[in-house]
Amino acid sequence: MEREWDPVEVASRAARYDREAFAELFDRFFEGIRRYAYFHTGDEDLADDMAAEVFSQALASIENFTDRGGTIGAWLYGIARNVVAGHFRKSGRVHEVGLSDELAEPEEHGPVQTVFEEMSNLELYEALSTLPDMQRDVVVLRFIEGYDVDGVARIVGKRPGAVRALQHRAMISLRKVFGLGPDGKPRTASGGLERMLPEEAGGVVPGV
Amino acid sequence: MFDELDSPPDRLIARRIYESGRSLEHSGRAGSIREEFLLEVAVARNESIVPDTVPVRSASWRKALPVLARAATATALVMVLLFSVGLVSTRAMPGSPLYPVKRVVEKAGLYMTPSGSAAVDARVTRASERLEELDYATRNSMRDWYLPLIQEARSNIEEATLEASRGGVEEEEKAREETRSVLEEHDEEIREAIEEVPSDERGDLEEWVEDPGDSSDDEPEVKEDREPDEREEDGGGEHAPRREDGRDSDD
Repeated sequence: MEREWDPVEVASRAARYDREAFAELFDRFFEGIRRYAYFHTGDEDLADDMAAEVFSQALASIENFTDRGGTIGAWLYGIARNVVAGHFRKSGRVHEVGLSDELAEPEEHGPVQTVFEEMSNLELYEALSTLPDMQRDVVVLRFIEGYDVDGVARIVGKRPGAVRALQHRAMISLRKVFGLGPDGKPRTASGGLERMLPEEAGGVVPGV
Repeated sequence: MFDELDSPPDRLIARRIYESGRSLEHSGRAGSIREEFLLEVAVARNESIVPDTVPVRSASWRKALPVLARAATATALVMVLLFSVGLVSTRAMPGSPLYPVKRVVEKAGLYMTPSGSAAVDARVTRASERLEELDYATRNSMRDWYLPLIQEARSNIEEATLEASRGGVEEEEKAREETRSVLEEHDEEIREAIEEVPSDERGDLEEWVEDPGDSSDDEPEVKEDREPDEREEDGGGEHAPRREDGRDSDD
C-alpha cells in the first residue's frame, strides 16, 4: 500500500539520511524542479543537470533545513532558484532573451487560442524570459507548479501581498508580449488578432 | 488557480502556461539521475554520525511524551513496587530481612484504623501475629526474640481490652473472650519461652500468663522495661482486685 504523503515526516526521516525519504522527495519533486529550470533556461538537458544539482545540494545541506510545517518542497524550490541564478551568474549570460519574430508578431489571421495552442514550449519559454526573474519565478511556480500565493511567498521569500503584485505585473507584461490589451482585445497595429478575438475572450477556452 | 485571475486574457495566458508545463516531456535521464542521487545518499548516510538504527517515530514519541506523564509512570511503578514488598512482607518471620517492613506496614495499618470494634479487632490480630511468631521463634530456638514478642503481644492485648472498655460492657467482654482464646491457643509456647527468658528480665510475665485478665488496669501496662517498684509507685504494679467477670471491683 502506498504511503500517504506527509512532508513533515519525510523531512524528519531525510534529516537522518533515510534513503527511502530521499527517494520519495526525488519522485515527488524532480520533474517539477526540472520544469522550473526549463522555463528559466529553455534547455531540457540543462534543466536535467540543474534538477540533479538541486537534489545534491539538498542532501549536502539537509542538516540545516528547519521544517516550518511541511515546507520541504518550498525549500527545494528555493535551492532551485539559487542553482538557476548561479548558472546565469557563472555563464555571464543575460537571463532574458528576445522574442522570436513569430511570437512578437502574432499570426495575422489565426484566432487567439490558435496562436496559443500552436505556441511551442520553447516559444512560451521565450515569452517568459522577457519577465524579470522574480516575476518569472512567480508565474512558473503559480501556473506550472500549482503553488498557491502563500506557497510561492515561502519559496521566493516575499510576503503574499508582494507575490500578488508580482503576479499582476507579470500578467500585464505577458499581455503586452502576446499583443493583448487589458480587455482582451489585440493591441497590434496590424490588428491581426483583433478580428479573431471573440467578444468575451474568457469564453474562448472551455473551463478557463 | 485560474479563477483567481480577473481578466479573461490573463486566464487564457495562465492556462496556456499551465498546459505548456504539463506538456513538457518527462526527463529521459530521470532514472539514472535518481540512481546516482540515491548512491550519494548512501555515501552521506555512512559518513553521517546520525545512527540509522534510531527509529524516528520512537524518538519523536519520547520527545512528545509530556514530562508529567513520565513522572506519573515512574510514581506508579514505585507504588507497585512498594505495594508488592509490603504484600510479601506480611508473611515474614523474625530474622527475615522483610520482617522490619512487616512491622512498619502493621503500624501504618493500626494508625489508619478507626477507633471502636475495628481497632479492637486489629490489636487482637496483632497479638495473635506476635504469638504465631513466638511459636516460630521457639521452634527455631531464637531466644533473643522471646521477650520482645511476648511483651508486644501483651501490649496489644491490653490495648485491645482498653479500647473495648470504651465501647461498653458487651464489647469489653467480647474482647476478653477473644484475647483469652488467643492466649490459650499459644499457652504452651508462651510458658516455654518465659522459662527461657532470664529471671531478672521476666518481670511479672509469669503472673500475667497465669491470669492475663488481671494484669491490666485502666491503662495498658506496656512499660515492661520499668522496675517492679516503679510500677508500684504509680499504682500499676499491684493489680487492682477484679471481679470474676474481669471488670474492676469498684465499678
